Amino acid sequence: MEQQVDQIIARYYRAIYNYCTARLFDAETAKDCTQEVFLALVRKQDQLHTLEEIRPWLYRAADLTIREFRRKNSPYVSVPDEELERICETVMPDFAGDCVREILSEEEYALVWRHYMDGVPLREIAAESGISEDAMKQRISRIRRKLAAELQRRKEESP
Amino acid sequence: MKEQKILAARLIADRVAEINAELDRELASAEPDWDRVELLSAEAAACLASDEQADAGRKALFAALPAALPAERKLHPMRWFRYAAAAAVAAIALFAVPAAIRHNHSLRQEPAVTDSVMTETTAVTDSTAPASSVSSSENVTESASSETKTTASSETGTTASYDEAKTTASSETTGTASGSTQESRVTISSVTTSVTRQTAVTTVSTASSQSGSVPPEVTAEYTADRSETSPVYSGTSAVTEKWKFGRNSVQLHASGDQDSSSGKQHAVSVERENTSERPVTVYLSVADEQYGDPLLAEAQIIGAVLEISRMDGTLVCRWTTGGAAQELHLDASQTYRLHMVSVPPEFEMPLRDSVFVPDSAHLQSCVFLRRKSAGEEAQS
Repeated sequence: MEQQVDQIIARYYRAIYNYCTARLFDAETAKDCTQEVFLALVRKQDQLHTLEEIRPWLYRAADLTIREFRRKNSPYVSVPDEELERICETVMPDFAGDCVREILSEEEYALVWRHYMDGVPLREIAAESGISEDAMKQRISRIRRKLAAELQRRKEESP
Repeated sequence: MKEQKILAARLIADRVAEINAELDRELASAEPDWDRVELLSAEAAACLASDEQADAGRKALFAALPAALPAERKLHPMRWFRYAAAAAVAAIALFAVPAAIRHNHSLRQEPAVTDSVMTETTAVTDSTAPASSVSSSENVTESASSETKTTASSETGTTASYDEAKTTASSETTGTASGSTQESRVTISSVTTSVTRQTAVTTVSTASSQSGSVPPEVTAEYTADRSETSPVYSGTSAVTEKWKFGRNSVQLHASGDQDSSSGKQHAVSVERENTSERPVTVYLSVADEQYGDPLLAEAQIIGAVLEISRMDGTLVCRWTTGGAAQELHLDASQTYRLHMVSVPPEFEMPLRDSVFVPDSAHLQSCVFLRRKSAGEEAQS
């Protein structure tokens, strides 16, 4: 069973760590929560008879651990936007600023600059562009996904 | 440049928030797409953490693992002592025991076997090996019959099944030395398992045919879905070992040395703890998030309707909050789903059910509800 635990950790550690990071916005805290999840797995491994049960169990256990941690340690019920921005600015790599300029078209760059830096509401930008607010939200969402994917790609390619 | 990084941070922050909303939806669904959860999480983590941090976390986990492994899987310290003791006994046996045995033999007219001393000592050393190897190296004949039956008992209307194992085994070692016939015998006289709702106690009584100070060693082999051999206990007359419920049979093998007593009872108790059906009391309250402390009386929400069910959908309890925590009697280490059926109109309904595993003797848990804003309440 020890070998199975090692295999499970090798297979799922990164996935659970990523999940905890995505939920907690902090790598160090995510590391602690991830460790709690796998230690709980070790303690309860006799009750998990098939590997198919492992992944859902791990994610559910991670949810519980994250919730417990938030209840005990987080001053926020849900992280405010400003706090999340501060976290992202602190942890994101320096090349993220270059990414924005490089991967976005002029139109996209101008759009996100107006909304995020000048504070113009999306409703107003949409009206100026002659499209619906929902369509504008989707456009902004695509830009965000593009930037996040580029950051992920550059991070994976970096030595 | 700094402004561009700020812009990137705001874009990424919104994307992480989007990802979290998608993760909420995915985990709330009846059959989450775990691959999608994994991909979304990886995307968010790429923005928030480095690979070095993940690797450091993994290393720390492996370092913490040995301490977290269940006790019965650890190498029992008695085993090391036993190895050292066996080596000492072997050294003594080579030089001192034959003379003592011959002296004993002349006084008591009972057989003592030099070779069996050697072989028994070998058996002590090799007792980690399966019993069959012990048998083959020492001409030990061992017969064991076991029967397993399942009984059902009910205390609270639920049916629990337990196993009883009765094993009778005997082993004999014989050998010759110096032209005389000598004999030592170790016999397991009986094994019974008595079962309570939470524990099963297996008592192994051994009776030996010769006097001596060292009781025989007993190993228990658990033959359920996974076979394990328990640590070997020796040197004590009563030993308690616990293992988890689920082992539905046990075979016991005994070996001893020439000093085993005639007619002396060596009781070895093996206690089985039924952890899978250990009851847990959970106190669950529903509180107003703005107070933060669920124990405050003014924080308690009245009129929320909740259901708790097992993961297979079986409803366990449905209740309406009345200002105090609800006492729930659940099974340890089972997984439950908590569903909010309705909440008072001034509170927001939780987006999804909660899942929890009660694994403490008493557990206090709380569901926090958020108050709607004035505008939201007016719309509703």
